[in-house]
Amino acid sequence: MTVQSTPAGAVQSDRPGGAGDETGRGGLAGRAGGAGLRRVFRRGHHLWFALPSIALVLVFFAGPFAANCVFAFLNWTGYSGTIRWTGLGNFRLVNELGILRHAIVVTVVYAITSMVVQNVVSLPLATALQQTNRVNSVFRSIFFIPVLISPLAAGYIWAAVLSPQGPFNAFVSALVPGGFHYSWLGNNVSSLITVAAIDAWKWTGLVTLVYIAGLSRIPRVVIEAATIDGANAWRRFWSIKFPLLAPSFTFNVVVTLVGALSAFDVIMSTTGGGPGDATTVLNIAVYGQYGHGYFGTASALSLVVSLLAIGTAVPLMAWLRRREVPV
Amino acid sequence: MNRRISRTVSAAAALAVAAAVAACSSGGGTSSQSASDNPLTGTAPKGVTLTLWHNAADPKAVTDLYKAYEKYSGNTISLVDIPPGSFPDTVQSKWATGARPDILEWHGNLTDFLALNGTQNMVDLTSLPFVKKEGSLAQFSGSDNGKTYAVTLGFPGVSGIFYNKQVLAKAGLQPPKSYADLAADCTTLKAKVPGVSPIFQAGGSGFPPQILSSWNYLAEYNKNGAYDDSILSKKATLNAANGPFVAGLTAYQSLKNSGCFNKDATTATWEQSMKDLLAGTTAMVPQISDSVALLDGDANGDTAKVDATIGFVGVSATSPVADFQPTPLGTFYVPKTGNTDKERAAVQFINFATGAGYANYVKEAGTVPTLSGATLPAMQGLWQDIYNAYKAGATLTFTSRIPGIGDIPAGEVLAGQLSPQAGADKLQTEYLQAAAAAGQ
Repeated sequence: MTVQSTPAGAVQSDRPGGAGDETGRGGLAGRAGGAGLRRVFRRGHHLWFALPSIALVLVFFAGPFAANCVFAFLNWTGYSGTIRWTGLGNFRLVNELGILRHAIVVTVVYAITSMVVQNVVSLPLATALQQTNRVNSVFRSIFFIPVLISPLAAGYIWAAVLSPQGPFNAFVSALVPGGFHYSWLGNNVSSLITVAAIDAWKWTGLVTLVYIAGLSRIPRVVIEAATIDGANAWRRFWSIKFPLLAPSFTFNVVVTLVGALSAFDVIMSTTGGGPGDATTVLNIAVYGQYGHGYFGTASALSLVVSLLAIGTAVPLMAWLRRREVPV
Repeated sequence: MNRRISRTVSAAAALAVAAAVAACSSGGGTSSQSASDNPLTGTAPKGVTLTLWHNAADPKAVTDLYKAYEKYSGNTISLVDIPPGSFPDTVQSKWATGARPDILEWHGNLTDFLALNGTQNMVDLTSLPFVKKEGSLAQFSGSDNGKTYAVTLGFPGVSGIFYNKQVLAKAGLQPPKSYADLAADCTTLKAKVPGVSPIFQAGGSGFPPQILSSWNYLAEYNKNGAYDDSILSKKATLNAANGPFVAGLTAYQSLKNSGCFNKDATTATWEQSMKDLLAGTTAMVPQISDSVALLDGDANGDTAKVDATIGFVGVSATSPVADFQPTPLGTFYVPKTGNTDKERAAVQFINFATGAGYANYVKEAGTVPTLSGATLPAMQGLWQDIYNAYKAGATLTFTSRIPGIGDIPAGEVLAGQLSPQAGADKLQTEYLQAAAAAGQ
């Protein structure tokens, strides 16, 4: 239902018998003050339900975001009690330090890796666990457990598991001759891929549930008709299920990508941004600047995270929603 | 309605920004004080509760000092534990919000002092009796422009090379004295004691690679603060191609490329390095003297075993010079809180720690006292080695006075991400950033 505010203040609805109809009747009958109040309440009652959300967004998002937008252009540091406007100085500085470009590249690679792993693993998993029965319920719960684990705890556990002398390499050593002691988190490339995979492991259970919900929404008759027409399982998946999963796909791709752009905790607890700065995503760089008392440059990097997330999510969502078809 | 909401949002955002800017100002503190609100004079109150932000790694001697003060004064100390792993970040983050403890345990380095805008935010303690007893330490720990803002009870952290005596003896080696020795010893150890890592690097703990790559190498260049002075006066730069900083990183890279480090150098931890050293699976660990506590712990408190197994020596570019810097453990400041009573009580704590409570502290700490007039306690042999290296002309670690260079990019050099010159270029920019912020 779309509701639009008109210059005359009337509310129109595209649904027959909706708010527009009621408002119309109220307007004709609006002779007394009580009736006017009722009319106002009827017009705006749905906004009252949104008030808590609006308040939360204002306090916890809009306010801090606006503050961040200002701080990013101030030379605010712990070294001085004086705070001055510095224009784009903070951005220039983090660029000169080699932090900005490197952190953006690492963040994007991390986010894409995490998003791809989550969706590639979750979609087949959801297909396998779609039917609701006891066995599938058990497996759904098992795959959902990582979602409930603290990201820091998950990171520390994986750091221990993947250490050169850790259980993972011990397992591989049992399979290959000569022993295997690779430092998964000590190599520039493998550390980035590994921490992104850990992040993906953490959230795959949730993404799987969204896909299961999407699959369950597809009318059974459509699948049955395709089966009767001779479509095999692969054809049914690609030609029917996958297109009809578009809303779930849109949600999962956008949420996993934007979530990974804001990554911090898993990386902090596994590599701390290292080795060197191989896994220093933007939020780790923000922490580094903030920890050194450079609050202006930290805010500048933080603003880049926000802009990167918005600049990625909005066009991506618009593009993905175009391929959605009504069920 | 959209416009109205938009205006409301704008107004709320402006309010939030204004409030945040006001709240997050670094704080100028009180610029002038009358006699009635001077915390250095007047009687300290009884029955007040003092908040103390402290490093959770405080040794028992320090935590017992807090208890002794409570008994002595009738005041209560409310400890706020700050994890050692994130100590500087956590303190600076809390500080940035405008929060202030009544007593702050914090680094004595000038660079860390500047990061809290110390001259504006801390009580000047120069006139207290302990300053004379501290001697030269009061000039470089918690000090700026000749004024002393902190008491330093803990013996400075001395950096050098911890070595396993048995492993070096097995290879027929004497403790190294220079970086050339380190390179030669590495070659010998690989040939004669295979399976032992010649030098342990703990990149996973962040700071350890800084020690070998620069702190130790530059020690002989910083006699009487000569190197620091050249950088601070802009007569030299950290990234000069023929300068000692680039040379240190180059020597470090050379050791790495020669296979002198443990295979997990980029991820290994400080704690693991001391375990391996005691076990004899590594020959040498460049570290600070705080590591003795780890070694003693690994030996289950058997200090005789530690003394028999481990030795310590200062090693610089071409000569056996160690370097040192004030430790945050036992270094206390009195932040300006605006509450004169509590500031007086905090000053009373400083006077107690350096007066009536000092003898017990020194006895329990078992390390070298920093104030004159105290008796040298019985120390374990390894501490004696460290003290000898300190007395033999150790110099102030060059990072102590230069702002903004707390993170030497040694980790990036270790991981092969930066060349020595690129690392030095990065550090020079970081120094200029901090210098500009500090108004230098």
